[in-house]
Amino acid sequence: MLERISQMADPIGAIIGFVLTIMVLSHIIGDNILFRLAISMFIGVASGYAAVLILYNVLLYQVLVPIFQVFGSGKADSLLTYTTHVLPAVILGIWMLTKASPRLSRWGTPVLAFLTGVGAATVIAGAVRGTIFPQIGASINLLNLQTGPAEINKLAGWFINGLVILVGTVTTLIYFQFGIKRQEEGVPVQRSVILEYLSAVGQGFIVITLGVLFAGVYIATLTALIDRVRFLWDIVIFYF
Amino acid sequence: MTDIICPLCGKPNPPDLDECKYCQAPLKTAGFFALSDQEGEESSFLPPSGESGAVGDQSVQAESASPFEEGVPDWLKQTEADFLEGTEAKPEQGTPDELSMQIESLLNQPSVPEDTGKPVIDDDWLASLLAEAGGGSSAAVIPPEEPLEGLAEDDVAGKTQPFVEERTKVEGLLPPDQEEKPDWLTGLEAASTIKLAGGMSPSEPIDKSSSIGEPEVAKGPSQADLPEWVGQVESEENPPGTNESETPIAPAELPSWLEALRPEDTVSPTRPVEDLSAADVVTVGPLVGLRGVISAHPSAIRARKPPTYSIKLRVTDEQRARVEMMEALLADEQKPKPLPSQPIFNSRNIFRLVIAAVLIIPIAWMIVTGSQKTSTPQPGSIPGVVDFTQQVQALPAGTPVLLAFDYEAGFSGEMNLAISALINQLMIKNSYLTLVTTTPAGPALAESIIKTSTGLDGLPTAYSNYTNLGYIPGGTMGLLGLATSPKAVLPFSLDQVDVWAIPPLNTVSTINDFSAVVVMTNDPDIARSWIEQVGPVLRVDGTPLLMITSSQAEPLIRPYVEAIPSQVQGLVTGLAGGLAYGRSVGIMQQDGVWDAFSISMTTSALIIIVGSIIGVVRNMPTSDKKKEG
Amino acid sequence: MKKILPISNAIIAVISGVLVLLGYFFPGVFGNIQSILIGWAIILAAFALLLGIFNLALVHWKKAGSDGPNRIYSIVLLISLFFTIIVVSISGPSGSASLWIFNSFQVPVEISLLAVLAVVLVFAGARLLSRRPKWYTVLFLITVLIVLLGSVPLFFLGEVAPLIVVRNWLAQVPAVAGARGLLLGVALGTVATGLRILMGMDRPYGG
Repeated sequence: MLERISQMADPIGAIIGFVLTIMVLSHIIGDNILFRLAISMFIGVASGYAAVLILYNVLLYQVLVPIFQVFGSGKADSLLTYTTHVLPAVILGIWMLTKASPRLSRWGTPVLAFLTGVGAATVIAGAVRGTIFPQIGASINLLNLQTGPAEINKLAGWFINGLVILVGTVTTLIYFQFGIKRQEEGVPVQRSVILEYLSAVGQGFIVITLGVLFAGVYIATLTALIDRVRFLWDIVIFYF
Repeated sequence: MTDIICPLCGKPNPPDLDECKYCQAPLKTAGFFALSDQEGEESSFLPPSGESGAVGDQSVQAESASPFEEGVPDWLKQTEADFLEGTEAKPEQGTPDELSMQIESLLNQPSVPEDTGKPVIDDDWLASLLAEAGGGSSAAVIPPEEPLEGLAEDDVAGKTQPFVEERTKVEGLLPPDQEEKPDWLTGLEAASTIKLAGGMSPSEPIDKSSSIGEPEVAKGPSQADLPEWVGQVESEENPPGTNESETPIAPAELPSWLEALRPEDTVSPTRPVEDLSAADVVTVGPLVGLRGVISAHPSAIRARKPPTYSIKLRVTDEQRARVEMMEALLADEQKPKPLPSQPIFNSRNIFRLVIAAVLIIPIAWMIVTGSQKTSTPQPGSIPGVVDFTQQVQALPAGTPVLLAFDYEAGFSGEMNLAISALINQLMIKNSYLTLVTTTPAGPALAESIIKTSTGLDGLPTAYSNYTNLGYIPGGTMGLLGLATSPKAVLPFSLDQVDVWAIPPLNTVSTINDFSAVVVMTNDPDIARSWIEQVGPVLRVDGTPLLMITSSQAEPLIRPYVEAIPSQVQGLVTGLAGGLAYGRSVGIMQQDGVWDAFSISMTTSALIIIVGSIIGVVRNMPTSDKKKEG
Repeated sequence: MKKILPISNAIIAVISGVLVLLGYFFPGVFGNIQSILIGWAIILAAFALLLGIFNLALVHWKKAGSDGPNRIYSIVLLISLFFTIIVVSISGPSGSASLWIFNSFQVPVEISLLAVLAVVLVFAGARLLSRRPKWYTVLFLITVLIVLLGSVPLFFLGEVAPLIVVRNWLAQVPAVAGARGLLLGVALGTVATGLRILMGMDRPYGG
């Protein structure tokens, strides 16, 4: 509704939005030139906005403005901070621009290596302390009576739910275990029967999760469809 | 012109060549040529002594050496044939007495026609043989032994002549009607180069045109005391060396009868057939001194650089055209092929159009009519909404709250309901809204929603107690930087204001100095990054992490919400969650969206059920056929 | 040089990653270095994004200059790109003109793309059983239907309590179990991949 109000107050923007909505919705009947034109326009606008945002947010506010501040303030520690925190990054960034040239591309690889190393360390630490430890702890505490409900009549349901979640978590992890013990020659390689059954149970849990995910995606897209229908109706009503 | 037979490979070469064109062996050796175009005629080639054997040997050679036969010149074949005819009728080799008689007959010169010149015999090998045999040696003239080195071409020719003449002389001593002859002698006669027209006997002299470089038989003072083989070797070795110290011997005059025997197309007998004066002289080895012979020394046969052959592929025009065609075909394979243009109105698109119409028409009807038949969800019926509401209500007034606008513009319709309600609540609390984002579209989204926010009365409010810090690049790395030092990562707002120097952000040094962090995202990965990077820092001080997500991200964020201890303290999901939260804070939607949502959901479920039933029914005959098959 | 450069790239990745990791374990000693390296990485990520946008413009510039059938789309893209850069540069990322462009062009197209996706998803869901159904396909379809019908009161029937109960149970128990397993698996895989990079065994940067 908020966007509707703003767009009603802006007829040109509203008309443009109306036309673009029709052009994109025409994809329902198949790919066509209107749809592709709308997508090209969208990519251009999004890329242009992102480029200027980066120039403002990073190059201007993190690189250029601080250097003016440093020379303006004349403080040595500010200069030292700038020299250690910002200047090497700018040099590395300019160095990385060699990746744009096919001839000089391999000279920009060290910068990418640095980025990759820092990124890898960041995700490792995040995965370990943000997901693995807390989620394993959560799985352990599923059947922890101290965290259970106070009411006895809800205890059974709580216990069953906890057990289901625990079994589901373990079997889901078993499903993704594809390691097989090496056998002698001529002996067919296959997992043990127990693992096969547990893997099938895990597959069931994964299917349910994916079903819920699919339903969630559909709900989000349906909401967008409702929003567009409402928008079109509002434009028609307001302007026509 | 007569061809020259290469002594090494045996192939004929033109006479003007100095070296064989096949194996590059020197050709200019005395006597090594074959009259390849004169079949069955005389040849100067004398077979080696080993071949002048019994009839049996020759017959064996004739049977087994079929590839040999191809290289054997015709004259040799003819002489062999003649020999075989002659020797078949011959009796076996006679007794020693008979042998001596044969030798005696050799000593007697044969009767020759008067018009032929008298042969002059210089060679001593025959004389030595005769001397050893004890026969009369009056007719034998044993030439002195000469060394083999440095034999001049003229000398060779001269030696050839005396040999020929001596032999002629010796053979002339033989009675013409002599039938019993030793095998070696008959073998020599068979290999003789003379084939006289008009029935010349095999015992007749060798043709003058022979170019065999026979070594001159040297005349020794006495050969009687030496064994036979020595005499033979000496007689072969002597001539070349001896002739070097002597003056060149002038070519001998041939007898008239010999001249008459010369073929018409041969060169003049008065001159040697080949000029060997320019030929190399052998300096090492057993043939030292000879000129124009193949030296036995390995270095004489020069190892020449093998001829270089062009590696350029010989391609005809037709082949080249085919190659170009193949290259064009391969190049086309790499080009992306344009998708075939399908007609817009095909069955698939029509079916999709029908489904779209079935979905859109009820939605439009609900919106057009503004229906409100469907009750909005209760806050308690949506898990997480109550906690979210409580957390927001527990926030202190006037404190900075970090709002992360990390959702895409496409999910505005679903999430803006909950976001607007939240901002409305925060405005009421006069919280300092600090807007950040890790997506490029976030700043614009945030700015739009703040500027279009309305109060409880639905009228727009001009809220100014906020700052838009902008975009944090780097994804997870940016979040880690934000969590540890937000001032370093975002030193200025988008309005170029140093907000960290003014209240209330001047009291903020790390992220858990905010009273709450609310993350608004549709992407489960972004939500997970916030939980993993920022959550541990927030948990230190117990700063709540709240989330407003799309329905599509809820299943993957729910485990963090349900964890014990919880990593997300409050969650509002999708349109239903937004409506429930709005209901909890007193904001009600009256524009038919929920009814449209309800009817579209029912319609969608019906479409899926009907489509599934149709699909199963259509599959049933196919599966039955497969089972029958 | 061909051998030295890849090894030096790997060394750079390993050292930088190890320093950042050590900042987690020893914040007092390596905390500053970690902050500095993270600051560099953030600025470099911005340069990488700029590089990507520049590459996009270059590719479409070449396409627009060629005689292909799709050059019109590249021309439209380039016009939109340069127009947006000019307007947003003048107005600023939070200026009214920038927001006008954003709300008039980007928001309608993005929402409409999602709306088209709704039709496609329903079409796909209806055809799910047209191929030979297996047990997990049927389970998937049943789950989808339950969640859809339990998310909102049915228009003609209103709230169906069993559906809502089952839907909530599905979303909070088996779906959580499966999602937790997926998250743990993803996290373990992330750790394994990250460690391989930090040990120099994997070099996705092309070294």
